[in-house]
Amino acid sequence: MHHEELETAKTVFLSTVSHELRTPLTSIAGYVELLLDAEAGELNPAQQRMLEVIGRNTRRLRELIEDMLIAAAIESGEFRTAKRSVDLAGLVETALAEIASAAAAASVRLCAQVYGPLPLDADPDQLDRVLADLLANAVKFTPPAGTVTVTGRRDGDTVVLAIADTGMGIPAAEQPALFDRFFRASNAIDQASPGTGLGLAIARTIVESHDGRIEVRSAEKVGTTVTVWLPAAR
Amino acid sequence: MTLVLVADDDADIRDLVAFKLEQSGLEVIAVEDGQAALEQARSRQPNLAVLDVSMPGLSGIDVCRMLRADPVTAGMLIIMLTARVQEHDVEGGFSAGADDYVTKPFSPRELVSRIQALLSRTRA
Repeated sequence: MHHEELETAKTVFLSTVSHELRTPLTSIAGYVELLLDAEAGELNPAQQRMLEVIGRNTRRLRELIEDMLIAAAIESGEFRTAKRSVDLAGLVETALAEIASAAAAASVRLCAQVYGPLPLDADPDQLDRVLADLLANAVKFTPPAGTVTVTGRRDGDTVVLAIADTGMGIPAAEQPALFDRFFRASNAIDQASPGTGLGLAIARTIVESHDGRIEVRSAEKVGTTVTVWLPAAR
Repeated sequence: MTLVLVADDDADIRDLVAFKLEQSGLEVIAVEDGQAALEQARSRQPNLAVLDVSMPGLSGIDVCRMLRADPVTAGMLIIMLTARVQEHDVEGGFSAGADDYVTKPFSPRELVSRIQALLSRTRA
């Protein structure tokens, strides 16, 4: 196969796989939502808890698939951003609602101080990905009774978003490798916490393709703060 | 009553959307391909159409373009459903004249709120 044909085949494959994976997930997540909203009748507490577990794990699977697809798109050079007018404050609100049940299950408190609207010219699906990955990390690495705080504000021409946790932190020596694909901190591996090491690499690619910047500050056993700067819409 | 046309070739998703919209007080016509969507849109003239992008035969984007080109249906509100986050689907949808698009997997609640936002925007 010629190089160009191979590239086209890869693109078609990615597109097919993403369609084939997302279609059944839409049904699973959608019907679980209907049941949890009691649209098909009241649930007893045990049924409610079981459906919440299904919902949470469906979301996890979905995050994993989205991360894999975007990593594959980056790898094959197919990664593009489709920018339009979006309000980051609204995206944060949605992302917080999405992670709420995982946070509750881990006894982690979510706290938001977002001074919206935060208008951006950006790709909403990609920013969703960044928010979902950063929030999932924050919740995952924060012990019970800890807090994850999301702050968002406008600073002149820039929108500043910070996600701070009171979690296990990242050893200083390992911090430079954080944005490398598949990198996972030694303390995360020691605790056998689940993860692919794709989240931050993807977040950086997305943020940089929006002419933004991402930075991690962390101290072991104190916590981690990820800050993202993005150009505000004019 | 507000009439909504739902076109998706995946029966489970079509039923999911139809059920949720009916629970939200909307009247629904559900069809499984682009040709049927076009026919129903012309004969029943719904207030809004939810079109899956990837359907056999006429795609949602084809249907959208044809509805916009016909004076009878040109003003219909259109939301596209896409399972691909790639930019050509989204831009294709908007350039064909869609009012909004929702990416799969979507939350039925979110879809309803987008539909209601579009309906209230045109009523206001």
